[in-house]
Amino acid sequence: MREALFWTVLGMGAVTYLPRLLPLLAAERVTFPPYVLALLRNIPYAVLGALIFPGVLDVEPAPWAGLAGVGVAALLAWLRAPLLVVLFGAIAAALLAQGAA
Amino acid sequence: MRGLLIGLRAGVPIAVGYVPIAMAFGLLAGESGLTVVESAWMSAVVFAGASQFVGVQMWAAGAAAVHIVLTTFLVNLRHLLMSASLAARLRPPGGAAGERPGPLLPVVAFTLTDETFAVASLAAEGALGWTYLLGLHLMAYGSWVGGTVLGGAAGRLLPEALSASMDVALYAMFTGLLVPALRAMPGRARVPLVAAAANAVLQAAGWSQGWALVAATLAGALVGAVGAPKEAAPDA
Repeated sequence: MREALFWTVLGMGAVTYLPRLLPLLAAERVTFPPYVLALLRNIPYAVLGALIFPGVLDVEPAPWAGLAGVGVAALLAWLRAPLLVVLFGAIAAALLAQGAA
Repeated sequence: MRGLLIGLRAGVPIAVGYVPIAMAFGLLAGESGLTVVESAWMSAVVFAGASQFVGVQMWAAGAAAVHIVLTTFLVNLRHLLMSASLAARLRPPGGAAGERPGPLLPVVAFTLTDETFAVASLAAEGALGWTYLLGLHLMAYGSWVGGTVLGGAAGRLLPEALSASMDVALYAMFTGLLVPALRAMPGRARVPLVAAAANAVLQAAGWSQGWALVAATLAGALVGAVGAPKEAAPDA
């Protein structure tokens, strides 16, 4: 294993563990102010949005392959397809988009 | 001991859901240049799906460790809520003498996820205890790490042409996580939209990918939190 990856993952693990551990360790009931709650609940949605765009435009060999893949993924996910179906549907769409070019 | 078995059984539906996602993670991590040992290491140490996909994507893009760790922290901060909620249920006010956690507490805390929390939250009042949680969490953890190894090993068998088109798969995965969540919570759509727009603007302005992601995430979460419609129940 590469040393840099080993330590990066250990850091990821440490910062993931603390929020899991500390409230359970705290003897008293932990309460958050409402605005902190609202912020915390939004973070997974926010990070996914930022990860998809504009990164999807960098998909090889061309932006429309990425956009086709993500479009099909969004449609399948909207129809409640299982995650693996979403994944392979998107790959198939990107392949087709490449082939059509 | 009985609690452990009940917990393990309660964890089976989670395992059924986790194995394919973990396999997809192992597969994608392999496509991003991680060895099977490296992706298994990440699944074993982090054990938090979305942040692992994020971490692999950032690692492959050459992001600095500090950005990867900071983003992971932000993505997984939500566990505070679930840990706090579990803590409140396990230590009933009035000081009723429940099961003592002892060395189980650090293990149970380490393996807490959105899904185990959802199942534990729905568990009958009498069933919920530390050994139950241990069984539930170990089932989820084992299936996640095992699925990662399976997916990483399967990746080696993929034909070259298919492998090349896997570039889009991570984005499909993010979309596949985001869309059902938004479908259940349509009022929140502006959160990822603002974050995506902020990310595009910051990267165009010359920010590094890592800091742009952190700032855009906070911007999206803040805009969503400010003036958010009142929500009665947490949606963990």
